[in-house]
Amino acid sequence: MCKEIVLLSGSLNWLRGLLLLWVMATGLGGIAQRVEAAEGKADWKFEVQLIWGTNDEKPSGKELKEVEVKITEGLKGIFKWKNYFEVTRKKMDVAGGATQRLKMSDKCDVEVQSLGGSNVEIRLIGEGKCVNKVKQTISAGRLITIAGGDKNDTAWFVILKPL
Amino acid sequence: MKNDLALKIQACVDNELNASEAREVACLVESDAEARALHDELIAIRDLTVANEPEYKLPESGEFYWSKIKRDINSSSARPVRESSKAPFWSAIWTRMVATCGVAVGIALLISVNRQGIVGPQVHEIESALDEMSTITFHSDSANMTVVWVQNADFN
Repeated sequence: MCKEIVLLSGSLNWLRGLLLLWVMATGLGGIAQRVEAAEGKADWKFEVQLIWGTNDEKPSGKELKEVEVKITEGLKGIFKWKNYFEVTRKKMDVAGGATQRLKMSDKCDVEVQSLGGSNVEIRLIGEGKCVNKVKQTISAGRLITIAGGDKNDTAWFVILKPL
Repeated sequence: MKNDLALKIQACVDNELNASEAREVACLVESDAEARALHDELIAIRDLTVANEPEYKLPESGEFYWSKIKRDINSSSARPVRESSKAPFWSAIWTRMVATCGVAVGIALLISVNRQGIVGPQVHEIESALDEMSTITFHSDSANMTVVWVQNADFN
């Protein structure tokens, strides 16, 4: 009986040591991750889409494409419109500290400035005027959507997808 | 015969009575035939029991048995105290402190690292360049999306 107790207490000491090592390794990994995130990826690639939302069917004569299902479902979950059509899709590379501008439509430009690390400033330019500025922390996979209402109870959406 | 008298006779046979009580019982035994018969019967049983009690012999003598116990007691008290750990006394305290701090740091870092996944990326600042415009911002975890809704902006 005493031998079993001695063996068990020895095993518990080992387990405690292993647990401590695991926690500290995880913590150090977290530090490294935070440092990496803070210093971050200076260069970012985006896919920028201009999407039109409406409750009507797809109008003929206009070159509109289907939006990918994941984005459509995401928008339907938030907004009231039933149908979403892609007007424009473009890609953008933004180097660290640089600014890139894309023309999405006759009236809409999107400008993205890298502020260093994971921070960017997104400027929406309508008819030559800066309509809106958004400073945002970027994370891979998380979409940034700037949207507004349009005539005839429709809406426009500018969606930036970090690649 | 009454039970009390029988018990008195039995006590007399076992020498459990004082002098006066013993004299009373002796008189009773001499005068009463039934009492005398009981008295004689009890004495016979007592003698038989004492004469025929089996003798139990120990494998060793009593003195030897107790001397062994005494020797064991003396030897255990003279046994040297187990050597304490060579590590200084503060090492155990230090180890525990490090372990506790390590766990606390790890938990704190895990929480801070995971906060970003739970709360979502932070929108630091939104600025509407035009006075007639206002914005509403919200995060949708289900759609994995941050939405900035611009009021009164009309272009396409």
